Amino acid sequence: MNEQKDRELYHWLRLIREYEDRISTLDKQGKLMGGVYSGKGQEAVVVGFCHDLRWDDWIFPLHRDMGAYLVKGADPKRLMAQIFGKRDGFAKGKDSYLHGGDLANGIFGATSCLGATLPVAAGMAYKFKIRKEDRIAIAFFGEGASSRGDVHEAMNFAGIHKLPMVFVCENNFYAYSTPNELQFGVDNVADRAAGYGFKGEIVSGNDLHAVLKTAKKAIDRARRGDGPTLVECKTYRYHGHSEHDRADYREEEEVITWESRDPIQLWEVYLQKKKYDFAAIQAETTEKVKRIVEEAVAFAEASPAPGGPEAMEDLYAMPIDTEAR
Amino acid sequence: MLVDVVMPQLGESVVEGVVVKWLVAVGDLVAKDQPLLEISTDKVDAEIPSPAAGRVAQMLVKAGETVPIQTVLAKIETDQGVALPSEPQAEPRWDEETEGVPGDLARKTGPPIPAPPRVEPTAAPPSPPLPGRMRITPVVARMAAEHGVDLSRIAGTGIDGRVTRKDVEEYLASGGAVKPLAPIPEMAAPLPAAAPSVPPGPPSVPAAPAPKTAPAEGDQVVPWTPIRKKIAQHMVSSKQTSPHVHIFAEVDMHRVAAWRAKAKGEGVNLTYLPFVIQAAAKALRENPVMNATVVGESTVLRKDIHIAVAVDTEKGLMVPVLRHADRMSLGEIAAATDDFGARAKAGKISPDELTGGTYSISNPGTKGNLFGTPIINQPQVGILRMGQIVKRPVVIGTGGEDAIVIRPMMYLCAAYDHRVIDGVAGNGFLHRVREILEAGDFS
Amino acid sequence: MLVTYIEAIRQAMDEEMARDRNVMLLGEDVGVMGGAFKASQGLQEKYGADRVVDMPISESLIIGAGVGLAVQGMRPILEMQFIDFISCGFDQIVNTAATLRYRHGGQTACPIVIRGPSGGGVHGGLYHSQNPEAWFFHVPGLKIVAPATAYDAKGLMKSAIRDDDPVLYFEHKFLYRRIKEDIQQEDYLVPIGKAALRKEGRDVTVITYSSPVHAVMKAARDMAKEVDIEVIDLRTLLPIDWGTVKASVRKTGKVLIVHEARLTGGIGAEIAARIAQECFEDLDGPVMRLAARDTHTPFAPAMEEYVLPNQEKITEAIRKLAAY
Repeated sequence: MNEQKDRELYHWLRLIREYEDRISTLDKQGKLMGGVYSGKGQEAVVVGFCHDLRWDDWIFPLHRDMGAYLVKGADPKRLMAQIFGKRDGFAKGKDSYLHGGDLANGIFGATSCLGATLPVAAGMAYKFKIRKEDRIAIAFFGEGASSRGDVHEAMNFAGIHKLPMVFVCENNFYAYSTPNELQFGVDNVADRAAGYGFKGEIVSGNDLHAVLKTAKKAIDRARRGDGPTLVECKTYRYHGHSEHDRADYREEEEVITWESRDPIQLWEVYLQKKKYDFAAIQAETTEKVKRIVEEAVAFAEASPAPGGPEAMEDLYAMPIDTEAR
Repeated sequence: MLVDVVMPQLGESVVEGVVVKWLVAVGDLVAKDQPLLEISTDKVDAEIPSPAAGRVAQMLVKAGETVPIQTVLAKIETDQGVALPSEPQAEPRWDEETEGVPGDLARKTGPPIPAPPRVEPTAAPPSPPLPGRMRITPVVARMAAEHGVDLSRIAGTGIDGRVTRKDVEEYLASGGAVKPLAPIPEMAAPLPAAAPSVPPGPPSVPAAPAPKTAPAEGDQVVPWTPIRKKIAQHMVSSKQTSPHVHIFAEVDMHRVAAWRAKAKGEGVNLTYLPFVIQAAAKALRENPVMNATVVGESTVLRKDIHIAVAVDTEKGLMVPVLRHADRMSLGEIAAATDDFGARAKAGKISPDELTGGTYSISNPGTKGNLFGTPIINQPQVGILRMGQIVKRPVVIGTGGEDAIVIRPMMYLCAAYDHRVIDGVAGNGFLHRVREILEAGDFS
Repeated sequence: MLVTYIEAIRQAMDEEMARDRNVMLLGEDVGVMGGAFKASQGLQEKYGADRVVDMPISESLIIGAGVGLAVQGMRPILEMQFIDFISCGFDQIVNTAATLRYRHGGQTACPIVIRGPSGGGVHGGLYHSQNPEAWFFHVPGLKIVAPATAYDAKGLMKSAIRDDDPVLYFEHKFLYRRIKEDIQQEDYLVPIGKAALRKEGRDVTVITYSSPVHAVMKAARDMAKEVDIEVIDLRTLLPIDWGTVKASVRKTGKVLIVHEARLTGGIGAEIAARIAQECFEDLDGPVMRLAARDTHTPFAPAMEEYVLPNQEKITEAIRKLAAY
């Protein structure tokens, strides 16, 4: 760890927070349509796993992992256009929020069929293995998604072939309103890893240091060819499942407890303890992230909305005209 | 009793198997399930166990042979004379103490809900239309509109007498009447101015309805076939459309006869018909108004000469068409007419060959009598009918001297449509046909 | 060379794997065993266990992993051991594969082939007899093919592998070893999206595909003196070759659609509706369909016979329509 890296990590945390806060505001201003799924409070997880990936590694984020897009290298302007459902978004308006992936940067689009991206990640990792490429795939999923059969099938396969991938479970204790005890019978999702023949780790997801350490171990293990790891990050989302969810199923006390473990504040304490010029860093970072977000919003607002007939495009790479004679 | 040992289907896609090796011989005693032979298929090798205890009575397939599945490979004579009894069926019993066991639900619910009425995978076509109404499909409606066809004039061959598309096509091809004709103004002129004492022109009397005749006892009722219906309709409508004029020529066929004899000598059999066809084709080329059709208020002189030749078949009159008859040699015409004749009688003429004629020729043959007045084949404007060839004494003039000679003579009748053909053209045409036949001018 | 239908499929996979190192095959028992029906016999020996992969019983994974491989530039063939099991991977097909290009705004393609034995008539019962094409016919982004001959089986498999879109390839198990054809040695393709006019005729058009094609052709021969039948073998079910279909309807005016899949909501329903709408003025009779009855394909022979279309039912249906 060095100062440059520490500052970089801080930048990512702040950018994600600013970006998501702005989106939340825009939503309340009625400028966005459809579901908005805030990941506020969970920033350390995606930063910890994605900050040091290679451009040709792949990530499979979930709908709440706005930050993963940013850290992996997606253009913040295009990402905002994607949120706005505009033509410059990754899906060109064809699907919402994070469902359009930035494939050029190795980011596969999220899906509402939770867990369905895991078999895709496993397939990709299989290719890395048989072609002897030292690339890896990181598949993110919520603890709720872990109940889906696809997750089991993907992990099973990964264990059989010791695939170069990492399974990252973001356990924020609630799948919409469903708490852990109604979601699975084990204490930790990571306990299942043994059932697939690989290692499970549990990490405090708000503690960026802890995440960095565990992430590095898992990523290195995968790249070496020693197989997958299931890392469960215990974390918390400050907002409801979506911006329209008041999250009355949670106790005020619990929310406050987790907010007081805010990952950004923790990192700020660390930066201060390292005796960096924190005030300067903070000011500089604030100015930078605000600028990036403003530019992104301006770009998104100016980007054209797709026309109706564009709904018929991009269905086929090789369309066939069967009326042509 | 004899029990079959069959080649089993081991695998859903297997269709045949190979007998690899027999493990028993004819006459051997075998127990039930004892392996009898080894077989091999695409998917698996196996031993076949005996279906019964008994003696190997017959072995029907040799080792090394490949046979389809279900083939009987051998027969076992069982010891018993009767089939082995099957296991007794237990009476199903509902027991109050078996609460919670599968079947419990079946017991508890009421009688099964009847299945919904089945929709057959191929629903039957709809029931016949109400009396007085016609069933018309979209394509028939369209064609009727496009061609101005009155569907009630067409005999339908579909169910319940429905007029099908094919019926309409054939009706149009055989020249069914299209739009009703407007009265031709010129016709009114020749009528003399009515003098007071002259009664006015014949009033248009509506056709009296045909007297009703019911079949009497012993009469044989022969319902019209579709072809008979079509012929009937066509004959009526042709007479109603074209004012027929019939003219007659007496033709000296001795040169034709000579030609025939010469051809026969060379092994080629020609009837009189090809000669008449070729003569007519030539004469049509020189008299285009005879090779025409009426469209609206125009006479359309057709470029090509396609001669339709009437053939009488069991099913009725058929008129196959010789295309470009003017380009055919005698031999070609003869071959084509023979072929048509044979195929028409065998019912093997395609609809294409019955359409497109521009002029017709009828040859009733040796029992055709002296002459007749044929009916024009719409939408043509003329038709030729050959009569019997009879040897007669006739007067000819040679070198100024008259003499009586015996010549084969034939009456030729030409009908023409007086809407478009007047006496000069009509007579000119027939005269020309006679000229060609009498000159023996053939190719 | 003389090949069975299944051998033709095997050859196609073999030749494409030789031609392009990115082609691979994933499925249950496809490797060491060569497939439950031997469709991939010998392929693992030739191309290795990395490319001919014995997968765990996980249809959803097989298809999802196929998508992942496809995004990485591979061309995976994904076998469903019996097509009946395709429903276990339904979500991955309709929500991941079919939407991949669309929801990524055209950034990528999904060159996967999902193949497996479908169809009944083999005493297979409920789970070894299904014809699932109607479920997927409804999903844009997919292509569906169903060959009826060994020639088409080979040519369509090659086209499917070379196609950049997800292709569902429904082979018919009844035909696997029952038909043998003499096909050419040289490489050839059968285009996706083009129906085959198996026989020209003037009186009735029969539109069909897969196993029933053979029974329809037999009916056409047996009934030649009565009815002049035109037979269209669709070969591709999605997209349907409307050009060929409509030209035939214009010619004959009478249409019978025959498929082994069930009647209600089967592909025949769409074809019938489209013809009724777009060829209305060419029709000389109602558009008819012959299909399996709306029940599950049962096991006992008399019941299976009752449910599925067969030679007799086809003949009767044609006769009725011709007489209309």
